[in-house]
Amino acid sequence: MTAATGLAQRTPLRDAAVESADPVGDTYLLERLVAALKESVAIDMIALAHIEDDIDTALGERAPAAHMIAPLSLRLRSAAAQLVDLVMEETYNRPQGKVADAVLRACEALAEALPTQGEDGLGHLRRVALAAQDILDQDVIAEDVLDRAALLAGDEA
Amino acid sequence: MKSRFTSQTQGAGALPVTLSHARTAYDFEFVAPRLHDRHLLDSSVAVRVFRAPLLAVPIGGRRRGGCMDAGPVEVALSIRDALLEIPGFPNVRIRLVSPPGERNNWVVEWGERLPFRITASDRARFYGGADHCIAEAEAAAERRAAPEYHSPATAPCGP
Repeated sequence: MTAATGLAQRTPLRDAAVESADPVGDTYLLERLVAALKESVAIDMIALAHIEDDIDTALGERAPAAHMIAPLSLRLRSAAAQLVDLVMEETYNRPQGKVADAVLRACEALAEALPTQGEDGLGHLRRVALAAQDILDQDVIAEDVLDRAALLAGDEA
Repeated sequence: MKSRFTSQTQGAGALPVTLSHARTAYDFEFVAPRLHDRHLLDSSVAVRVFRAPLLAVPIGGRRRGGCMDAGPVEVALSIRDALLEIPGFPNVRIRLVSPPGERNNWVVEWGERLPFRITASDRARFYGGADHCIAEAEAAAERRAAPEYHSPATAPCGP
């Protein structure tokens, strides 16, 4: 045993006084921060976790209720944007062939302004849903990404 | 709408945030001509934490998301709390954006998440920039030798 490893083994990993100390500082601030961060992460993760159900709802035979179109569009847009990011990461920013086409279609759908209501809103929702489905169909994104998103969002995978 | 423009204190220890008419924002004259959809100014609010009220523009039209520099986390939390439940500010959230080795700097965001790989002109479009802002961003990008991508971790906020 060298002097250095001997010293390392004798050095406590934690100071006992620190370990036994009561929490100090602004606990109210910390509680607010944790709650806000949890919600901030959940916003993105919930969109990704629900993407398959949301695509089914958007593209199903029965159109979603009018009041659901805007929130559904927002959630699907968030998920589609995250899928584009994931594909770009997986392809080292150089998607090829059908994958590149799918990314381009998603970017075009996301570049559309979010319609406030009516047939325009439903049309936009379905274009985003189709674009998201198109990306998922390329099998570029790891299979467990959506499951992990569900876990982070607090849902059961 | 009137009740929005009142001082809001979220609890002991929280910084008081005041929301007021958009035109009272110090940066109103700067932001207004740079927005593609000027009607968004009607539902914008001025957010005052300390002295300077700054403009928060809702999403709509071309504008997909919004962002406000907050600085310390206490300020970010207070701005977030003030913008919750206001129409046009969906999914209000906070994010730490300071680059490694620099002082903590938080932003408050709403609407969609800014894509990670985005050009300067697409970024201007994302935040609802007017056509001339997008053209300026494109021209600036062309002047550079290589295309530049901005990560939201280091990019400043839009209007």
